Amino acid sequence: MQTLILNGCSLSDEFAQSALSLVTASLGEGGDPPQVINLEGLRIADCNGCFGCWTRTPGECVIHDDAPAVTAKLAFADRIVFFCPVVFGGFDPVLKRVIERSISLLLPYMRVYHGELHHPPRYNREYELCGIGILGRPDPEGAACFRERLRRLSLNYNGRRFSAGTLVRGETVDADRIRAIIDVREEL
Amino acid sequence: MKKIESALILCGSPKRKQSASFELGSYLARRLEAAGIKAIVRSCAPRDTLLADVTAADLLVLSFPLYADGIPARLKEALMQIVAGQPGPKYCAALVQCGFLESAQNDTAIEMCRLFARDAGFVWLGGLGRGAGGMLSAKPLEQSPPPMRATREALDLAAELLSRGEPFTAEIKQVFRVPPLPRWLYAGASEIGFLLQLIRNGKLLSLFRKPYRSDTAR
Repeated sequence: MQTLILNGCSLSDEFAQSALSLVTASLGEGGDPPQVINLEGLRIADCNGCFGCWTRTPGECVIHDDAPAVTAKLAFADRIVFFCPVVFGGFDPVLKRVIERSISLLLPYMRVYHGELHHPPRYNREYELCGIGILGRPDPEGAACFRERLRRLSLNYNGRRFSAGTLVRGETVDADRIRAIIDVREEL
Repeated sequence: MKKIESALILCGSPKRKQSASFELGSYLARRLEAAGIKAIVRSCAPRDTLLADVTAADLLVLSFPLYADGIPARLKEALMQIVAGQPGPKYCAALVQCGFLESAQNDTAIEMCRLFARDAGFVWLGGLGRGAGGMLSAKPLEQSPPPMRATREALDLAAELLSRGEPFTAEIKQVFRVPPLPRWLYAGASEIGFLLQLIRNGKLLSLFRKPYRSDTAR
């Protein structure tokens, strides 16, 4: 299983990087080590909403920066881990921008999936998404929204299962705490 | 809270004035103006005067398209700047539209807007989510065809409530979100639209193109 971790946290964020080390170790137990992409410092522009990745250069974004290389890796990952600060119950803008720029992984038309219209995957693959968010303070509403955020994204990325959890900055984080998040695979 | 005398509608679409979100916000602004409230519509970027514009308004309305199930990254950055800038007490509401038929797909983004309002210390008046965004355009909503009547009526009522600082009612949310088309018709029309664009671009045979390979992605 190929696991890809998108790290939206700052490399100078000691709490986040310490937790990320535990995430990487836990996901690598008994299998291929996960690949980590640190988004800090990458050149990734905003999606301009042109749908060129569907109608002008199908499968590829028309903006030539660092995002297409990340999308290429996302295409063939079996499990994608979104690791970032929680902002208003969702992803931080750095990570969110990468997700927005990856809609070329989907096809333009829609089909019914779990009772709603969604785009089918371009690469005919099932993705398992995992979200680990870092909260600045205890925030049950933000944590609940973050979980729902992952469920929604899984629906749109042809997911079958997802896992999501939050860490509160300053709390003691160990391997068991991380496994309690990544091992709970909820069905959509 | 003071009486609402001014409103800022903040548009989160990268297409700015050429977007359906900008027009939804502009229509609401015109209705607020009719109710005696000074209303300004602007894009969330550039952000150099953003905080001053927000500070000057009694009501902030976010109008944006659903991007990958959430608030567009550029708008989220603007919202983070607003929270950090502490522009003082205000009322806040949101208009969200998505390209899927089901309005419920907007609900998580509306909850995020509520959490933004909470973090900014604003009074949250609610969010209106609309599906079938493919039917909306940047043209003035007053000139739109009859299927858009419900959208206009909901925004008319929304402006009345917002002008008094009252929250959106369940009835308005329902009127705004009702899908005006059967699912098969909306999905079919959307598909035809994309196929026509592919034909126009000479890319129809590339519809299912897979430019990335597993061996180059690792």
